[in-house]
Amino acid sequence: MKLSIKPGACAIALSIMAGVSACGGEPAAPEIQVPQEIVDAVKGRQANFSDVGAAFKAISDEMKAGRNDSATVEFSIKALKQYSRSVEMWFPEGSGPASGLEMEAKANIWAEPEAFAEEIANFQTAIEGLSEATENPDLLMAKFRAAGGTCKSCHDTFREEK
Amino acid sequence: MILLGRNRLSRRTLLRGAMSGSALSVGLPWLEAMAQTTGGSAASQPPMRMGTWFWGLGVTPGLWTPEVVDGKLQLGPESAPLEKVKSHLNFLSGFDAILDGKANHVHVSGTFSLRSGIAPTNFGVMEGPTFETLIAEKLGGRTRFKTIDFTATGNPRDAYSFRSARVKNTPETSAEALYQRLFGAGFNEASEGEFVPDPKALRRMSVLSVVGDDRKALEGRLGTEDRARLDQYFTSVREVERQLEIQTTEQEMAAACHVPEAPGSFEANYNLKNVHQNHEVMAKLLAMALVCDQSRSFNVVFSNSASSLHREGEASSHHLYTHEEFTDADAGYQVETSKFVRQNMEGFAKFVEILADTPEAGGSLLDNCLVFAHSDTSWAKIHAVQDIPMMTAGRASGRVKPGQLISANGDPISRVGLTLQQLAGLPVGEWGENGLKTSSSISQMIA
Repeated sequence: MKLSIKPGACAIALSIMAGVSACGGEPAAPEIQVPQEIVDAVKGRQANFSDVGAAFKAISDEMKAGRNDSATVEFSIKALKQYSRSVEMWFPEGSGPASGLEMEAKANIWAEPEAFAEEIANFQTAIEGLSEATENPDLLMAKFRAAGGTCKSCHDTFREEK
Repeated sequence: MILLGRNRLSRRTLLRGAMSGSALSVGLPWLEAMAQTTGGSAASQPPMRMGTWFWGLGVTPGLWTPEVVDGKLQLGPESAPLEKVKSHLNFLSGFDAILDGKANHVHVSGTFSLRSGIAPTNFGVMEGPTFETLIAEKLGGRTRFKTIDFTATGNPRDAYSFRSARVKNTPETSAEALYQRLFGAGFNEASEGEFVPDPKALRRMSVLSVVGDDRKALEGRLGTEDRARLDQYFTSVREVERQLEIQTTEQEMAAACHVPEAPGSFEANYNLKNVHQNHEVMAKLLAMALVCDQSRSFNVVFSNSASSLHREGEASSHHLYTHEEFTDADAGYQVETSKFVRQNMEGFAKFVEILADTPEAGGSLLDNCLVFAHSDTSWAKIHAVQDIPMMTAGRASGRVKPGQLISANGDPISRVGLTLQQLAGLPVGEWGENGLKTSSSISQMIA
């Protein structure tokens, strides 16, 4: 069962009912408490990936407009660098689908940590490469595609698109 | 009352007054005024004040940060509203909120990292006091209010100043309330003739003394957490006591200090027109309160984090624009979003102008202030927390050199908090935690 989290919710006590009606006299299903830090981790991860996507889109829009050397491109690349340095920290133990929270992250992120770490490392390397384009805008298209490729590679294995 | 020198009190000072027709003498606790100091008085050397000014949702890359051309600041399209006050300003660029791998809690991580020196682990949970409250403790020992906080949005939740991880300052939300707090009952205006303490204040002071007597007995029966709660409660009580001390002590007021005209009633909400109006009226009240030395610290919120500002007759807020407005293909930025940034800058220009236009000791109030202005994010479209826009205004009584663009290259944003604490005279050599820990102040800012 998937659960949605409303923004701003603070005290989270998510009741996951197993379909047993309490009025039938049968005991209610146990209440599963999702720790606040897990809720925060999932929300934070999703918000950060959303911002990573927005930064990629900002670069893409600028390239389409022929502005490879704009302040927007430079700023977006710096933001991607900052986000990329911490990606591996966005997946703490317990923040997977088993938590019951709605997410696109697949359970094999935690089941295959070495493979996932390799994908993250490839992404970080590609973002470092993308940074070179701030010095040489002619490199932007190639570096951007390379970075986008690492995103796709990871998503193909570890993300379940909804 | 026994006065030693211009402003010093004898340790044996008794306050004399009348209550219910009887003469009354009240002893005083130790006050800083009883210490042998060489500090200036309100009438001679104005004190230094520090405060913050906050706006939400940052700026647009490439449009706000000024350039230095021939040694002079050349403002960008979004900072252009600051043109007439730019000689009072420093622009701080390239300082990052370093999150140490923690998630970027949108609209929270930037401000919390900057203000507390600790990147927040959980959304909305500050993990330590914010630096301006430490400064307020240092500067506000003898003033009636430790800090004066207001928000121009009418929402008391729009505040970013924390005394501890759990205790947040509550701002005034209307000009009327701010006026009553500052200049209503309890304000001691300079007057001719013998000073007579307010009998009501003396009675309240007595009640609080009784509360104080019970404190120790109660503490002995409580656990650690309850003692901490009680301590927080008594911190509040102590602030009331301090206000009463001020009310029952003859104050030396600056010549320029006067009770301003009471403001009218204004609608307070996120409508830009109302925000500007409230902000201007409240800023003027604050300026006079500072001249009257009611406080030496302040926190102003012009627009909230994740700004809810909207224009008259429009449903879309600044926040909505940052996420939903398409980038103009020709201009290369979000045109409507950028207009909101300019509105925030117009607000800051007005604030600086009000302080600069308030005379004090042959100069201006701004000369003796340091206003630290910042936002919650740099580019709201992607909630970036690198290069969060920041400014200072004023000279901090000659401690700060204005008119500069101070550029860093991804340095921890906590360098700013460290520098401001040091400028306030706090004995701190290192500040912040983990990636935000720094011992490097910003020497370029210091005169």
